[in-house]
Amino acid sequence: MKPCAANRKLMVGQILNTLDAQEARQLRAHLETCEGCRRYLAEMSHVTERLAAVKINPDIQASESFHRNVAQKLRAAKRDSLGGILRAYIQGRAPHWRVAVPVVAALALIGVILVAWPQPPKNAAGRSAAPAVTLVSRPDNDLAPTIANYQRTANQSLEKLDALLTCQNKQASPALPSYTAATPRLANEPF
Amino acid sequence: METEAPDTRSLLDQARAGDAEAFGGICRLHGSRLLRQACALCGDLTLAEDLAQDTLVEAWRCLQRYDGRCQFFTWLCAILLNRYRNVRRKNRPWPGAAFGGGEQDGLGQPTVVDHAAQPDDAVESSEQAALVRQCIKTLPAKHQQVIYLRFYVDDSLEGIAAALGCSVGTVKSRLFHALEKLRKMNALNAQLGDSTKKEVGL
Repeated sequence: MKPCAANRKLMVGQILNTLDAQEARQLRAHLETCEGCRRYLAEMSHVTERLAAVKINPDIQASESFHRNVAQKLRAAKRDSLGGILRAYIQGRAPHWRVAVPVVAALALIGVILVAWPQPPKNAAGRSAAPAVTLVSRPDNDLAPTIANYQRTANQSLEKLDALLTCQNKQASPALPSYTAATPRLANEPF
Repeated sequence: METEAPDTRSLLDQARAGDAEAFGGICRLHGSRLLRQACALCGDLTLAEDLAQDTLVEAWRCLQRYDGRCQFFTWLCAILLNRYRNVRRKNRPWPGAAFGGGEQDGLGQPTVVDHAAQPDDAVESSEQAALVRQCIKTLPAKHQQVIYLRFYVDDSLEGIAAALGCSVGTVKSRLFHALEKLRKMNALNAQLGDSTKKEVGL
């Protein structure tokens, strides 16, 4: 038979001697009629009796060496208070192996993946085939091809001017004419 | 506000002002009692001495945090419990080591108990104490704290609440759940048989 859920805390309160007179009276009245609660109270009393198996031994006394050690530790704590506090903090914060092992394992796994990841192919010179990023900033290719713009760009940097001219040359160069069978006819056409 | 013995109170006032000699006096006053509590906690006198000494040093370091709302000794015991938990955590064996079985000392390390050297009653009571300690150790830390402070330090719920920095209701609730868990432990209830049945009238 189960104890009444509403009375379990009251029974623990009785064991801990925290009930007021009215609560104790109510509980006593209830216990007379409820077998489940009587059993529960007996079990709880048994638990607290068992807890008393751990006895505080009155014969144990702190020896002189105990107090000497305390004094030594206190002196050491005072001497390197900052260092000691830092050390204690670090020791206190050192992760437990249950945390440290998974973290180390995860880091090792990431390291293995990075090492084993396929690298991009390299050319004969040992440089990556990926285009190198030029440090020279690209000139504004939209500039109109005027002398004034060329002068302004040249004042900024000759390299920019060179790049601008190269770009504009590529953009401006017309597609080469394709010679087909119809091409000679163009020469015969009247102006 | 808990009533502190006048000699402790005056020494505490001086120690808080930075008087190391006064704190030495406090150590003399509470050293033995703290050592007994540490011994009850871990069951190993050598470890208990280290724990008690470190507790006193820790108390000196953070004396400004003691606000006088609980007995100074209860506050010391709360530090002691934290230190013991840290030591156990640091020395917790790898799971594979648990297959060794056998009895364990205060740090959970296997020990050899010379039963032949003790009378039968003493052997039985020390085994029971070890069993109870093991059962308490399986509880969550917050439950261990309230069980220890209530049943071994024997402080009031108000004093425990002040020492742990929580409300009396929280202490009551933790005690209730801790005792419930202990009640459900088969190891602790192994001898709960006929005597209980007679008690409840079955």
